[in-house]
Amino acid sequence: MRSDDDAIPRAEKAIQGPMRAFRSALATTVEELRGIVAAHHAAVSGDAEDERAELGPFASGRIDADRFSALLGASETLDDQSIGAIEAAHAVLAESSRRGTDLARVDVRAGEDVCAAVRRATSEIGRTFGAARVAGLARSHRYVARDHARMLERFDHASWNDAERALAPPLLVVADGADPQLEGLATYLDGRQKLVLVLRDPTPPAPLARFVTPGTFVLQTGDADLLDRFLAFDGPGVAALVPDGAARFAHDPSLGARVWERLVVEHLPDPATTRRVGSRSAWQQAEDLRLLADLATPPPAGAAAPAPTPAAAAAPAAAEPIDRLATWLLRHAELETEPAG
Amino acid sequence: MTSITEASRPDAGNDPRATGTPRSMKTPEHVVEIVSDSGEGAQKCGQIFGAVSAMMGNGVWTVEIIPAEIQPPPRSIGSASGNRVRIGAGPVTNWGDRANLVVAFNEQALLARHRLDAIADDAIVLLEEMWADHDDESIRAEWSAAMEELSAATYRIVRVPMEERCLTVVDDARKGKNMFVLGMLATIYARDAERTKDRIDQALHKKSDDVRRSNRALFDLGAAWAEEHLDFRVDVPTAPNDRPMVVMNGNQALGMGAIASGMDFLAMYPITPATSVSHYLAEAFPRVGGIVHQAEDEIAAVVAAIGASYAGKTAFTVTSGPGLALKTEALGLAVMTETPLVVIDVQRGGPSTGLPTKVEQSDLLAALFGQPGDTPKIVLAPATIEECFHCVVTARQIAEAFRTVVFVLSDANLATGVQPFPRPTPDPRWVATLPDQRPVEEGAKPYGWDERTGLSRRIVPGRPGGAYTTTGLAHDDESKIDYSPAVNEKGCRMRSRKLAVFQQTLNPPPIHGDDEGDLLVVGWGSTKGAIEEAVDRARADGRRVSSTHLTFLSPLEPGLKEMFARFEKVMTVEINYSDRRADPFVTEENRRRGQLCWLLRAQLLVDVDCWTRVHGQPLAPGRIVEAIEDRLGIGAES
Amino acid sequence: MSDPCSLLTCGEATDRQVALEEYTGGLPRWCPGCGDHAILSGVQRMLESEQVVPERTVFVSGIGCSSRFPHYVKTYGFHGIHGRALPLATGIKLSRPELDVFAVMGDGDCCSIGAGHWIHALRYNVDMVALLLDNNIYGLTKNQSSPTTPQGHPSNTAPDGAWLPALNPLTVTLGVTNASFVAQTADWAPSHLYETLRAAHRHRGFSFVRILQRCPVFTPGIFMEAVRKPERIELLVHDDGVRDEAAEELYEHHVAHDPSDLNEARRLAETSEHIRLGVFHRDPSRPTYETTRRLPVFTAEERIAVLTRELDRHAV
Ligand SMILES: Cc1ncc(C[n+]2csc(CCOP(=O)(O)OP(=O)(O)O)c2C)c(N)n1
Ligand code: SF4
Repeated sequence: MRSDDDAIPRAEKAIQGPMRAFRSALATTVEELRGIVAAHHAAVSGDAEDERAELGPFASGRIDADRFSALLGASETLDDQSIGAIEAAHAVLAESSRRGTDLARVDVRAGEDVCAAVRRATSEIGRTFGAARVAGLARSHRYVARDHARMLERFDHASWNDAERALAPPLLVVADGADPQLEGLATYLDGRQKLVLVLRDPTPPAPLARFVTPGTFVLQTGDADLLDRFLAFDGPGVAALVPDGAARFAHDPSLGARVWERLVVEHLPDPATTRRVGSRSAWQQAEDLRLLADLATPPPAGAAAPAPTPAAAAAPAAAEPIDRLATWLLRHAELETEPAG
Repeated sequence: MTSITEASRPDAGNDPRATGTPRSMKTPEHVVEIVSDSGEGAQKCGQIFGAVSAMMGNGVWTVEIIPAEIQPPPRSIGSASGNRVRIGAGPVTNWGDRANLVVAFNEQALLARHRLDAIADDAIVLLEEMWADHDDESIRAEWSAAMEELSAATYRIVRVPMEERCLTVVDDARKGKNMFVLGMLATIYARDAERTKDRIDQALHKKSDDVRRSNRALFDLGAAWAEEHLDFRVDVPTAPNDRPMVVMNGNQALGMGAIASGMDFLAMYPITPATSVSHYLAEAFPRVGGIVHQAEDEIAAVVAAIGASYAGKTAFTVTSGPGLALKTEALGLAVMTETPLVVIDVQRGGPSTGLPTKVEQSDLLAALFGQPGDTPKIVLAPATIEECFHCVVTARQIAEAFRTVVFVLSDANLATGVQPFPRPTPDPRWVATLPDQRPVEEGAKPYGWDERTGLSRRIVPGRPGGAYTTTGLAHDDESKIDYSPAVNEKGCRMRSRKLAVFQQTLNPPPIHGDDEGDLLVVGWGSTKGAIEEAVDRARADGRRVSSTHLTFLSPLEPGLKEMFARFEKVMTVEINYSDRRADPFVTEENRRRGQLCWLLRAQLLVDVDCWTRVHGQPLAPGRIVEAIEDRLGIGAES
Repeated sequence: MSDPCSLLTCGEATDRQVALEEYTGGLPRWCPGCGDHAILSGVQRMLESEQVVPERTVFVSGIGCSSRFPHYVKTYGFHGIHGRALPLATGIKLSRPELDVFAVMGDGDCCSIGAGHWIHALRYNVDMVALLLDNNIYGLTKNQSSPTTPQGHPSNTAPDGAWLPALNPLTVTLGVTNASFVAQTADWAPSHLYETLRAAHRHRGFSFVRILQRCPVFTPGIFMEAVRKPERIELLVHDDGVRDEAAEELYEHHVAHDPSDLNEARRLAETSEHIRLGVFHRDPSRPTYETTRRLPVFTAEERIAVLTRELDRHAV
């Protein structure tokens, strides 16, 4: 197991690949809008200054920029309100583009809960979607300030369409000692949204147990290398890099139709050892662990066997899934040779 | 008579190795050549020497001396490989005339340069002496024969124990002799040792610390040897300037210009001397999201570039003569479909495979007229390495604004020449924006020509409401195939009109020298520096000669006819073939002239003469002076 | 569908239903009875069922009767030059991976003048559908032998019959490293044609489909027997290939062929007494070139920052 200290840089590195599609789309949008704005101004002002700059020093003395821009003729112009909106949108997008990977980094402030921090980050990302919507409306003369201007200010996750949800970048949430109430994060698990949490002690042993749903990739581990596989999944997911001692498991929806086929538990602490962490009681935490043990256990072959006791369930879940973990890792290795995305 | 100073005769009368205060030769410029077998690192030595000289405030022009084969047999005439570095107190714009100092790693390399008449009569030669007493008898015989041949010349040859000295530091002197030589040059030309060693480290940044250390040691060794044994120094005054400078060759400059212009896609097929553009970009392009696509052949390369450009990315292709020939049909397609495309042709000697590594300016007419049918396009030629950088920005912009093909004619001289130039100040406005993807406006047509200018706005795929089919067949403004006379006439007229319109935006080229006189020399492309230097020399001798240099060859820059009328005679100077007037059977009527000459006569109805060479080398200013004098009726050349 | 390349397209509603007629371009000018008509209908049907977005689709072609195709489909189109459809399509897809690209070629176009590009396009494995409309003759230029003309079949350039044995485009294709999808169908088997096109479109990679195409003007005899005698046809059937009830009913000869079995595919592709229709090979695991080469887009500002560093590296 790697040292806790390089978890953040390693997680940061892992999300860079999946960030690329978003950043690339963002840069594309910035450049498209730059073109529209430049063409508009050239047409409106009749000023050759931009043309002179665009032609570069080689043209100086050789090409008469005034005549060049006059002969090229006016390109399409937009009304004041539309071009104003496009410029405002361009500014928002250019600023976000400059922030680069920072956009995906969420530091949970002292006293803030994780869900609030994620809300803050998604609304930052939402501004880029909102700005793009404004620009899209304005360039086709459909922009109405009264109805649309607010999208430049705020564009919350709830308003994102499917395409936006699919494109949203992964978020890296660094929660150092924050209150481990994570249930609210489920709201964001849609499209291809990935949440990567870096949790530090004190942390409950299985904070992600309750996220296990058929189509969601859930990963709780100490090994940041496993993030690549997680991030490549074509659907939503939540991962947590947890300190030693916490449960380690992976729920990979592509592994099977039944929950016990998909869920691989590598390590499960004894539910009896839990202690209250923040607002999460010892019993709640033990429940998380028992839930994992339950989910990972295939129903006994044949007729009704007695429901396994938590301790009994934990044992096979720890032994047999080792093999399945190996299988999973193997698949992971094979899949690595395939193109991502 | 060439004088040879042998190690065994340190007290010889004219021994430049004598101790005592060395004689310092102050000169406004000096040409040094470093030649070795390929693989011995003479080029690296020359490059570092050139870069350090530039840093210290000399004008510099460095050019590679390239062997014809990849691994020619060692110690053969064909294996001479290295650099010529011309340094000057002022700007240096070309490779100069003959070398004043030659450092040769073996006598065969020296002989090769001698036979090419590349060495000045009073040159000093520093020659590795290990071959004179080599164990191999045949080598000793070759040495003697070479000395015999060289004895007819008047050089001053100094024998240097390079191998012997280097072996005191390294086991294999083949790797490292070049640093010893660099050390000697640093002493001779008083180059700053620390800066030079920094440059060595930089050049060897991929090597181990040990390698760097031993290279520095060899450098010190060479410097100390020269200090102790050479009786001459060369002082080319430096004028440190505060303008930040960059140094690179013309192909790197083209590649960097492509980055500056916002190009996204280079499709190419390897061909000397164009390939190194793609070598540079293969490494640097991905950092800006650019792709170098090495296609299966030149046809696929240019066609893929057309596809990329059609799809809205800015694309270009890089090639040289034989490759250009293959791209012909596709260039017609780009012109016909009005797909913007920048074609960089780094010209080499032709026809056919010709002189792959050598310079020529023989593709001008092919660029203008090489495609069947009427294929109007814009052709421009950078004249300096700095212009190689900046012209790509302009070419890209024109290609898109005019929806046409823009040719950039560079050549092997610019491709391999290295020159410092003022560091460009990048402007984001140079960078192409991405195409508009908004729905197509009602009534917009794929060839919505402005009847006056022939210009139209492009509709790239992805825009709703714009679906149409681009075609290389005759088509109307909606891109519908149409063979009717009126439609074809109109299409041709619209594509041609763009050139007339573009020409209206051009300024007449400046005149170097007086506005009128006895002779006007007209050049284009990489010969500018040599021509202007020649004109300056001739003017200093009282000749009434001026020159002008054309940047745009299609359409031609305005005002030429009127300019030419102010001179008694007009003559182009070019590196391409022309019949000489005195050649047998050649008459005024059947004489085949230089390509620009041909073009100017056809276009301007002016009796333009030409002086051209296809010797595979950049023009030397001295030869141009002779040609000028000849045309003025002074010299003896024909 | 690949990721949207711009946030501007994200915001747009994508639930528009495109009707079959919306894929109809200009009126086809092929001869009556030409197999190209049926192929056009099959393609349009596939476009509709796959709900291919017209403005994000480009049909690319070379020169020939078959290469008129793009004019008749209402998407973007590029009717290029003879033999060069594939490099053109490659350039388009490499620079705009989000576009859906089709290349339409004749047998002269693909297997003769463009043969070099054909080999390399297979190796690049750029995601596109490449259709070889194989009428075994040069149509547009009026009846010259093509590489696929059967030996002995007369034409204007070989009045005594083609001298050489015909090239088998299937074995050629299956011999190229990295070929990822190879199928054969026929203009006279419309439902099989449609199903094959659909499978080709769904395959992520270079999908090569040879379509046997009748040219009633110059080669009326060549496919006549195959059309009249269903027993000449053998269907390759597999769930990973193409299943088409109508064809399976009409053609009694079936071979169960798993398209992942390349050696078997090569054997089945050999010229035999049967004309085999179906998917010979499909390997979805091969990376596509545009994915391998894909790079993010950078803003002008970022590009200038890179350029500045490049200039630093060359500073003196
Ligand atoms: C470079 C070039 N060479 C030759 C031609 C003439 N040409 C046009 S189409 C064609 C062959 C057409 O046959 P094929 O590709 O089989 O298509 P078909 O017309 O049968 O559909 C030829 C040789 C051309 N247009 N361009
Ligand atoms: S000549 Fe043949 S291939 Fe061409 S359109 Fe007519 S029938 Fe079709």
